[in-house]
Amino acid sequence: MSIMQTDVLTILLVVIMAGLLIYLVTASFDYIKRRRRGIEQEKTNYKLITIATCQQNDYTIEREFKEGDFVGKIDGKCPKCGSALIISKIYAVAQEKTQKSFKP
Amino acid sequence: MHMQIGGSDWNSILSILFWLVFMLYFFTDLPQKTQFLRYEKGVASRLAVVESLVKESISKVKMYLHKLGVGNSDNLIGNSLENYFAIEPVSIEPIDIIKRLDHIITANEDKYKKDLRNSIPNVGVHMLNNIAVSLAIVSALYTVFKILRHYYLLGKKYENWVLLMQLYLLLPQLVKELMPYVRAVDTFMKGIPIGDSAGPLTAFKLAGLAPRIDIEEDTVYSIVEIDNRKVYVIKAKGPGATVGKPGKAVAKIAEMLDYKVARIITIDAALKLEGEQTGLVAEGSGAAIGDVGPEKIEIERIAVKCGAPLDAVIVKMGSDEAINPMTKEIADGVEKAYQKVLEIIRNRTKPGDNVIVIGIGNTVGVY
Repeated sequence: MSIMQTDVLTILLVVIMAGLLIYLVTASFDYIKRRRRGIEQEKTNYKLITIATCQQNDYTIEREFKEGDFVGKIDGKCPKCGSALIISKIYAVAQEKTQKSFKP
Repeated sequence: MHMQIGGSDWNSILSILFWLVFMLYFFTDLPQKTQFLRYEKGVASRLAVVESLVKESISKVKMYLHKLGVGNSDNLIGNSLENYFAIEPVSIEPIDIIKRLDHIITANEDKYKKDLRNSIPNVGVHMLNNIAVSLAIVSALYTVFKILRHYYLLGKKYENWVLLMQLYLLLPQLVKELMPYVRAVDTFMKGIPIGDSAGPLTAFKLAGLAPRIDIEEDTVYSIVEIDNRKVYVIKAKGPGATVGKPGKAVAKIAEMLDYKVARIITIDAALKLEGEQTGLVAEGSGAAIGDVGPEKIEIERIAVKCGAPLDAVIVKMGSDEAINPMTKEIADGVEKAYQKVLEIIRNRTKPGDNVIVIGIGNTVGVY
């Protein structure tokens, strides 16, 4: 009877130990995954877009941002009507994710 | 027999070990000392990350200053890092506190800009504003680093593990919140509109290329007619990085109009709560402006004097989005805010009324 009890206790301990080990391994994997994801999100690259619109609203051009661009800048002439093309929007679009050089 | 003796030996060793661990754990400071070491190392490594962020931002500013042909960039940056603090006025006597606070802020800003102008005389006013804001970002990062280092060294000096534990728990979040500031240096130096430019961008959409009339330092207004209402659009003078003095501009325009103003509308970027969508536009009452007091109180006082309802239109965004290049979601939010302002003007004012619209925020990259 006592041998039986010892066996049950041993099995119980082994099961608890195994459960703890599995939990430890999965939790550490989750932590590493989350940390990596967090670091990648920090280093999201952006593409800057400049949108220029004709004053008569009949033409819109979308191009990459150039240094010196600002909203309200006259950016040439409209190829359709010859009116001024004015930069109406400058915004960033997420492009790709790269890994950071250091780990916080 | 031999096996039994071996078994009892192991039992004795194990029981001695158990008691030893028990005594060490409950009757000595060993657990705290171990935790202290763990926290100390953790804080030191994260503090090194904050220091690297400060150094990265300094080298970025140096690079841009070098590109502009500024020779004494080391002196200039060193000067901006340590100087130009403002001491809060006495608050135990509240009379005139706003005037005193405004005086201190204005004097500090003037001194900073004059010194910067003397150091970089050959740069245009808009570029100078961009440099001033970039240096202010570097200075803010450096101040945060200095404060964190102070508490770290204090915790180490007095073996205050509670202080180190708080730093250990706080630093991962702080590091994440400080990272966008480094990227913001590039944004300001290149003159790219940021999330906080949502207010001035909405003002631009209303005013278009109508003449900009100077009314206050770094602040302009334009007059446009919308459905027979005279709309006075106030914003900071772009496209350099500045927030202007919108409160004082409102006061001057209201005085110019003999306080005959039907409505005052403020548009600003507002911090969203976690889980809220970026670019969401909401409307409320009051002055949507995030300054320390002088400009906001001016708008409120003028609204009361004119008996004009004060509308607030906000574009929601995260704190990192507010200081980094404007995202498409925020740009779409600006379009919605513009439509909302038009709706307020058309539905809540009468033809012939004077309306003041103020685009609050940093006008970097927006004319």
